[in-house]
Amino acid sequence: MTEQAESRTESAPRFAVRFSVIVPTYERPAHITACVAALRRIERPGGTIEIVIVNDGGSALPTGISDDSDGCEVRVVEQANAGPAAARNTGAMMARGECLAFTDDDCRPEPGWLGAFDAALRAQPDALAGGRTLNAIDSPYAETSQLLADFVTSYFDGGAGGRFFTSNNLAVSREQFLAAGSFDTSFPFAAGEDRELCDRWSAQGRPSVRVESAVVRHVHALSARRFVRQHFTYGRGGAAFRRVRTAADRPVRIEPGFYARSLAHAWRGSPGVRGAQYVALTMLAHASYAAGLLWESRRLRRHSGV
Amino acid sequence: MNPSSIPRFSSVRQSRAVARPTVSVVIPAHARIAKLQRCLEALANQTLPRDEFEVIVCDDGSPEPIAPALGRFADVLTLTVVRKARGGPAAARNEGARHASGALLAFTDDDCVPEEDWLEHLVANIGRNPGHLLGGSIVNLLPDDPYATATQLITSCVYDYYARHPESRRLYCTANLALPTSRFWLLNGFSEQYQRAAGEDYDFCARWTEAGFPNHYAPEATVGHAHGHTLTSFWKQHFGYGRALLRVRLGMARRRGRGVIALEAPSFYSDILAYPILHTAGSRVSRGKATMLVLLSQMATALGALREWIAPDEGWRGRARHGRRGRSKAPSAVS
Repeated sequence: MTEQAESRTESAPRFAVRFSVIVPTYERPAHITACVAALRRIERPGGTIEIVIVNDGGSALPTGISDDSDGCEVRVVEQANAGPAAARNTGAMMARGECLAFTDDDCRPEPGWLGAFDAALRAQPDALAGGRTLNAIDSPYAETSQLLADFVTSYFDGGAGGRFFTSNNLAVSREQFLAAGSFDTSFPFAAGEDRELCDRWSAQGRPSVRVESAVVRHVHALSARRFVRQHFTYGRGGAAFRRVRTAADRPVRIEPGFYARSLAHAWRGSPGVRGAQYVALTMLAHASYAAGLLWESRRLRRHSGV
Repeated sequence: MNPSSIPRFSSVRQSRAVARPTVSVVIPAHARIAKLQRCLEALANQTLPRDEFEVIVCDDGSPEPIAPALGRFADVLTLTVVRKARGGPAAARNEGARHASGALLAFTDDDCVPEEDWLEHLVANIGRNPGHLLGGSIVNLLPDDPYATATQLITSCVYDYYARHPESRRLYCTANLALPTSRFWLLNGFSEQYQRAAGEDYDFCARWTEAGFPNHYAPEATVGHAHGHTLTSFWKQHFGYGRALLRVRLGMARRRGRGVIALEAPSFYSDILAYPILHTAGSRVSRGKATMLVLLSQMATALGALREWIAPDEGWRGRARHGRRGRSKAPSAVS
């Protein structure tokens, strides 16, 4: 029912490159060096890509990291420490590409990564595109976390339940990303800014697409303690998220089938002894998440007049 | 290598590959073309540079499309006019916001006249208070109109009351409201179940607070409001407020999982009645008349709430009965 009666008076956009890859980093010199090295080797849609490294208030980055190489313009942006979501927004703001691709310093994109996103965004220029992340660490904790993330991504497949992509493997037109309001940085969604962005994106009726062939290898080492902490933190973010969704009159509801299916997914990863290990760790992840959720819900209730 | 430290909000202005406004002003409009033109003239005179804001007028099913009457503003404003089927101001604001490209959304109405530093103050304020809901002040442009004066007194009283109780939620009217675009959508925009010009702002402010988001009163950002009334339209407006008020309260109770509506403290109601006595000095409307009209408006509001309680509109009441487990897709702004 909408018609555009008058065109905007903005000047036509001019883009320096097709893709800007945004990588936030904080005090991980070895990771960022390896990540940028991997990015220099990938295929470059449009001939040249821009790599925007956002140093989130950490010490100076290794020298030579920002040297331009053939077809890669590397820029380093410094900001006062404000967290990865704010760093990604800063990168998006500074980017000169028509499209943005987000990844993390502990990720190693495969050569076809941007090519796959490019094809997807040419087919659907307004879509939020999420790639496929593979765990590249031989650790049951890292593997279980990744299996669970895969499951959640496939569960929230853009249908009635909404959409979920992780922010370490995302691509979107810069214009659409900024128009949607970027990542929300001023609210304490502990580690949940990707969940928040995807939810808002679907609530606005914007399209999203899963790109299986946009592959990133994730080399995030996890110990048992960090595994529990990670899922506890996700649970805390989930509490804030639930509160907002309830206020938006769209309360979060997870069917019991979600948990059963997540365990089945972990088992299918590699049936047998390893599979059993993944199932047990997935249960531990759910328990940690639930503990974080309850802890944060209680804290929010105490600290708000509502 | 070009290191630069970036302040949070103003960075929008510093480096953009594509020209983007910082603020998107959204105005729902229905038929009142002369008033709308006055509003747009005020926006064309803003102290904020023209390329830092855009104006989106959503023509809410006016009998005649209003876009042709706004042609002259194309030279002085970044103006977009969108037209939709009649659905009330809440739906029109959502539709306008869908076309916004600014990181800050500012709402006003077609019968409003923003002061020339309105947007400048809002931008400065959101820079100091990132992520906040900003409510500016509203002044009555019809001091001779007793009805407009009485309505203004009630609005001022409610603003004052909530300002004295900062721990509670706030009410900012859509005549002068600004917030980050992202959070507007995170809360699903205005609830489109409010099809008349009442209640959608109260509902939104309540949900904002429930979501845990902060708000800030920005009285320096001022909008003039010129809404004349007859006795009948005055009664109808406040009766409508009463109906909407009950809906909002039922929604709040439902989200909390309670069946009982919480009322304001008794002082809230006594304040409203005492307000005209204390604040009409120098007004062109006599104290007695203002008091009578405020009393009348409160009767209308109470009766409106009663009417809604006895015979609610279909649709939303069904949801309320289902409680928290009701259909969740109903109010979604888009789909």
